[in-house]
Amino acid sequence: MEVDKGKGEAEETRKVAEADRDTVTLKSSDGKLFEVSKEAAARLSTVLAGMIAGGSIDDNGTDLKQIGSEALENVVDYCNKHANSIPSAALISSSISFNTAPFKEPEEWERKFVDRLSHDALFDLVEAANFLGMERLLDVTCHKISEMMKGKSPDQIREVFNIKNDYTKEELEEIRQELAWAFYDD
Amino acid sequence: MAEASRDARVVPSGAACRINALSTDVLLRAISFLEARQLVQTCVLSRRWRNLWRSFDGKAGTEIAYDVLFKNFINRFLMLRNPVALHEFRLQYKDANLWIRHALQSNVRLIEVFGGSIDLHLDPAVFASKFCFVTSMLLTLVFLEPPFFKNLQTGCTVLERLVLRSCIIYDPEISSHTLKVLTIDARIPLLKNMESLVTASFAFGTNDDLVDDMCQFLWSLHGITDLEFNYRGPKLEIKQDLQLYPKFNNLTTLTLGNWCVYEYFYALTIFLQNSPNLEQLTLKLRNGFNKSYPNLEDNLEDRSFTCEHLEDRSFTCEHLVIYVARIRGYGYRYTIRRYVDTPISQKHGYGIRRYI
Repeated sequence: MEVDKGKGEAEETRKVAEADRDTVTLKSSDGKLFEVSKEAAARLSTVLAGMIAGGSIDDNGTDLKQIGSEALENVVDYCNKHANSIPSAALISSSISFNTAPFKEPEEWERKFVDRLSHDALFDLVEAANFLGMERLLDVTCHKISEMMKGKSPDQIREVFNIKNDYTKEELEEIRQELAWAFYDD
Repeated sequence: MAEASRDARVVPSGAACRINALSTDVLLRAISFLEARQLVQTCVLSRRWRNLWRSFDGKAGTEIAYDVLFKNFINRFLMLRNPVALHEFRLQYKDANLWIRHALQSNVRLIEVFGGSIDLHLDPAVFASKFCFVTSMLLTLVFLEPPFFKNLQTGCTVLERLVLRSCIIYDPEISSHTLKVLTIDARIPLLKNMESLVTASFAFGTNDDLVDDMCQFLWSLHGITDLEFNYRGPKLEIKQDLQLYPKFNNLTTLTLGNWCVYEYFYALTIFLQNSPNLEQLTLKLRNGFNKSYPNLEDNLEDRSFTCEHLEDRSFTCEHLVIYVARIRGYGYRYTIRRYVDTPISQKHGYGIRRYI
């Protein structure tokens, strides 16, 4: 498959011979180049789709100043993996089941994909997906965040995400009283 | 768990708080995956989180009720939410009508209601006002009484998809100018004005479940593109006069169950004869089919059909492989015979084969 070309990083001197390339080159904030299939980029990212359609793609590497190389590598990796998993996705959407729901549970490979990320890498990827308008990737990464919260107490959640509790004792008590119905069974 | 060292749950000590730095939209998207109670409880994490939950819009498909103890919780949850549009609403509870009304009034697009083991009677009046956003509705194990379908037609004016699973349907008639997808696995109401229908799936158990007149039923489906039709009851009465049945000019995908082979394949014949643009045919034949019809092939006569778009392809289903081929200028002729050496499965079955 052609899309495999996009994998990994492409250092400075990648040839830009064919005018009608089927890949686009993306440049991370720290200057690294990555190639990704044009079709996958346009399908998975509304921002890249807009740039491709608007002709603002730079063959020498489109600058994505907000995205670091590790996050961009994950983005490209996700695009390639997604392209390779199309058969299963097509199969699901063609089934007669009731599937207009905007969100579908992450597939096995998507789970593995986000599970291997470090804490920082996960959040870098969330931000990159948000910046690039990658709805599915944003859902999958946000879903991962929610799984890190699921079933945990507020204290445990603060610990997991390093959230500083900036409420006063009185404020907390006030909230718990106001929303008692959400904290206690009545 | 496996890769603890790179696990996202491990935060380096002294690290920045990444989650609070996310934009409100993204943060909301993440917590929308939580079940409702925990979603509200995030308000105590820090000031940043205090009112986030109020903008919950159900985009992630959060199930907000699955336990009757939640009644008070849900009532307050719905009342205290900001009045933002709801995307999705899934529910399993007996006193559901009030909440369904809330969801409809919040411009919900998809409604899914599961009655479960409780007798959930949907109040037709809930659907009577104008709700111009609902496009999909999935109802499972609920009671539908008149004028449910009438209100649905006048109230939910853009409804395109209606799936009724194991519902008890007392309403005798459904009419819609907007429905594109319809699934019913119980007594089928009289279908009227269904010209927009593209995909339909019916499965029912006894003769009583079917509208009285098979011909009329098929006429109401004559514009359909994709039809699945299963019947699991005793022998179905089918009038043996091809002139009585409509032409299915748009029909490209057809799935039929055992019943279509009764009466010497007459129902199958009707569809094949009257569906000139059929592209895919699947027969779902139950286990034990061979035993019930031991002399099937002996009873068959040659039949010829014209289906120009059924090219030299073989279609597979669990118990049957259908071979179709064109014969010079005559449309298609098939004979059905037992085949033994199928490459797909080792099971014996019947193949519809080109007649040589």
